[in-house]
Amino acid sequence: MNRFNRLFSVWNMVFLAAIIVLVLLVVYPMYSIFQASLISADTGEFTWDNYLSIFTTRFYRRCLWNSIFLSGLATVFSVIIGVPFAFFTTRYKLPHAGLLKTLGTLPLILPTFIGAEAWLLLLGRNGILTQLFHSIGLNTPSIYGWQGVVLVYTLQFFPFVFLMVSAAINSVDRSLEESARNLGASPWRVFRTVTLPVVTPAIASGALIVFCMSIENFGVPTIIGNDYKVLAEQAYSEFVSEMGGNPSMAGALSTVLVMVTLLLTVLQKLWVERKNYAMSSLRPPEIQPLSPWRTRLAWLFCAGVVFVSLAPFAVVLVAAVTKTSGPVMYYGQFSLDNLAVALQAAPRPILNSFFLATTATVIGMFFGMAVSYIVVRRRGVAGYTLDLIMMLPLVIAGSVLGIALAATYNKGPVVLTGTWVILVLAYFVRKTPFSVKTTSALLHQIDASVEEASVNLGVPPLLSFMKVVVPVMLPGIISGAIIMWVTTLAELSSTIVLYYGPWSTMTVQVFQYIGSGDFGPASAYGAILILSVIVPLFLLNRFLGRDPMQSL
Amino acid sequence: MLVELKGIVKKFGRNTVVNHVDLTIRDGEFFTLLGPSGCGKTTLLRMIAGFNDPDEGDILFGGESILPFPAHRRDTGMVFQNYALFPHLSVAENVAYGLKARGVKGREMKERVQAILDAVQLGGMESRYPRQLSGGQQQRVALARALVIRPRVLLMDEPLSNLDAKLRVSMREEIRRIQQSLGITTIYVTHDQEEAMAVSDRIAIFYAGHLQQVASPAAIYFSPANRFTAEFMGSCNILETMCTGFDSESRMATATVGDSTFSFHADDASVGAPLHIMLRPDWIGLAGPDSSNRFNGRIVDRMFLGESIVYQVEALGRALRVDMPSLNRGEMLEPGASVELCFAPESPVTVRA
Repeated sequence: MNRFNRLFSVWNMVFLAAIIVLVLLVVYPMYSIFQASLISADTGEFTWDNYLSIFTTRFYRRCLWNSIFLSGLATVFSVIIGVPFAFFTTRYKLPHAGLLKTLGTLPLILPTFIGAEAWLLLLGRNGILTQLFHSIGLNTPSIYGWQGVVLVYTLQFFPFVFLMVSAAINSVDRSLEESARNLGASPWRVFRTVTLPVVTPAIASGALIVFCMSIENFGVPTIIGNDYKVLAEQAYSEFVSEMGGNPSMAGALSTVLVMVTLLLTVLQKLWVERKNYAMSSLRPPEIQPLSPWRTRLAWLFCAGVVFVSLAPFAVVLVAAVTKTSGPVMYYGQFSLDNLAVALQAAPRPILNSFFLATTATVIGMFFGMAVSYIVVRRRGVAGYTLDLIMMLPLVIAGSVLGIALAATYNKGPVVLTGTWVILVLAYFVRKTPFSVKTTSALLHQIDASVEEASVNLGVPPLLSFMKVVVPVMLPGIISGAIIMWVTTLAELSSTIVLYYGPWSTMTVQVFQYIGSGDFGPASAYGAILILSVIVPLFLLNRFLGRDPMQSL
Repeated sequence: MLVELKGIVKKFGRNTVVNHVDLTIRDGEFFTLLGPSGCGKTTLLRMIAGFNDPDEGDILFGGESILPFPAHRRDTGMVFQNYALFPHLSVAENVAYGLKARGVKGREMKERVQAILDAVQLGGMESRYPRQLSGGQQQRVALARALVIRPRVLLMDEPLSNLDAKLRVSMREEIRRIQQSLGITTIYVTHDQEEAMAVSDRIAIFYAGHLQQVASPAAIYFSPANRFTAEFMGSCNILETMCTGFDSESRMATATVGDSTFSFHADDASVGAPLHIMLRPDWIGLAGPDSSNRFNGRIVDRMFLGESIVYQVEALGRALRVDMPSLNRGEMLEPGASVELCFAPESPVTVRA
């Protein structure tokens, strides 16, 4: 055994450590709630009753159906908006296409429950638009219920479809379409028979993400769904119910939720893997001009989508500095009262958010770096397994993971439930996949021989990794870290399950103030949250020239 | 530096990629491992560099085993197929990388970097980054980076395969020139037989993990050890026949192919045993009045290549390739024409199957 082999044992140890961490934080907790779901809450014996009652009890069946219906509808609308948006901004010459693309990705990073709040401010019972239309004798459609939820999901998640399709369009060499033209196909025929089939896997991938993000979402249906209950919400209610709660039922609902997303992900993987047309593209398709009136129409569509998805957030910023009294807003009357509540009277949640997000990000950054290296450099069974477990949290709803962690670590040798540590762990598990994605994407571009060259020139393996691989990965590590940080700040679903008294976060504050109808303080915390998310992204874009959301 | 490989075996799973290989590479020799892709030649090179360990056998530099040493302490300079330049370092920093690892600093480092960059004709490019260089320039940086540390052995893994045909020819001349001026022991891996012949002192031909023949380029070309080496080193015609007579005194054998009986030189043969006669395309020519070993053929097709013309001829019941020098401003025989061909009794080689 020479020392080069011992390098592999260093990485073997890292691999083992990574697997242990993920088993403790993902696999085992998920297994425990699955186990709990098979035990009767009354008798403590093995039973399938909890699952049976999901399908036989009208209320639970309704929840399951609602979840699938909402997510399905949001997916369809996201495709309808996202695909044309991608084609218009990527393939055709539009004024300010770059700006449209950047703004078009922004909704991804903005917290969905703040989007829901914004639509309440616009079309809720005391909403600006509701009152405006009312004053001229018109009734606005109700935002409460499934319509509102689907609207918010669509406007916030369509960028997933847009980004995937846009990347797919650019990954196909233009010679493909040119050869179709050369063989005598009309432009429309080329689009139908070549371009569209080639981007279809990307549409499917984008659609799947939208579906998963929708079905796992907890805040939006709780805020504007009213009586329209979904699984993610109900699992949480069962778990924290004031009547003592029903952990078995919560476990069963969680398991069903995870199974739905897992099943779809597996199906999609099987399908996409057979239809991967990505080419090592040398010349992406040419950006084509459109006739003037078509340009105007396409531009109006894209600008309209961007405006409708982002304008509500501006309303939250305005509301933060508006005089309020409970749910009643006095627009036009400037006031710093709400911001004073957030920044002076109760700044702790803001500090909590920053502290928790930063801690989770730092841990996730190093962990993600090690995992990416193993996944990319050591393919084979070990790398594949690690990649699979690492990405598993992506199909687990935040509230479900929260329930699993809380239920697992509330007894036994390590009690974490009710501490800030468990919040950090939950964030770490949920967000590190982003870091792994951005980092391994860059790592794929460095051939293993570059490291070997360094070793060959006399630098020991581990030092070679630091001197040669880390510098090249650095942009990926930084943008991954920023994505982790901003999405952690905006994390509500796992926080709401895991936080306790002094460790309330900005997201919890917004959620609770909305719940009690206090839109003033809700908007104040919301505005601070929006700014904390946008500013780092802006800086990253400005100084690293990278658009981190491309890697979401 | 004398390099010895003794009984090297390497398996990947159940697949034996290198099978009991023994080689001795002399000090200062330009030695080439030649073979089709997947024959185990790159694996052998990587075992010398220390990136793979042999399952059996030993590797010695100057009589001392290097297997106990990890890759970064073997003091070899390797040039990779894709150059493996550090993308975040400039040309000068790439070249200085190995010197820094050896504690060479300051003025000495600068002078050595400058000297080697001048030697590979890259003076003035010091502050460029790899992505700003052409393929040929990247290749020179990779070479300079491997040479500047004055390695005991220079290892090159298909270094020219990413370059275009013209550049490949001029780079191989340059590599040979630099190797000669430094007198450094060099082990070179390629699948291109012409390249191997152009640069090497000796060539080892590999096939399916086995060593087929180790000899100088001319020796392999003119007396290939077996049918694989004959066919791999240049084109050839093989006449499969039976030995009908052999005179061990004059070393002349006779054999019949179709209607023609040939008599020719052979080192060894036994009457009644199968015999493979190998003829390079340029060993066959048009028969003159005094020619021996004559046979009739018909031109099927022809190709004008500049200095020579390649004919496809139907003769002896098979298709033969015959190369003739292009004379008289490219005047050619027409397809369909009948010709009488011949070969000299001393030219053919008998090869083992």
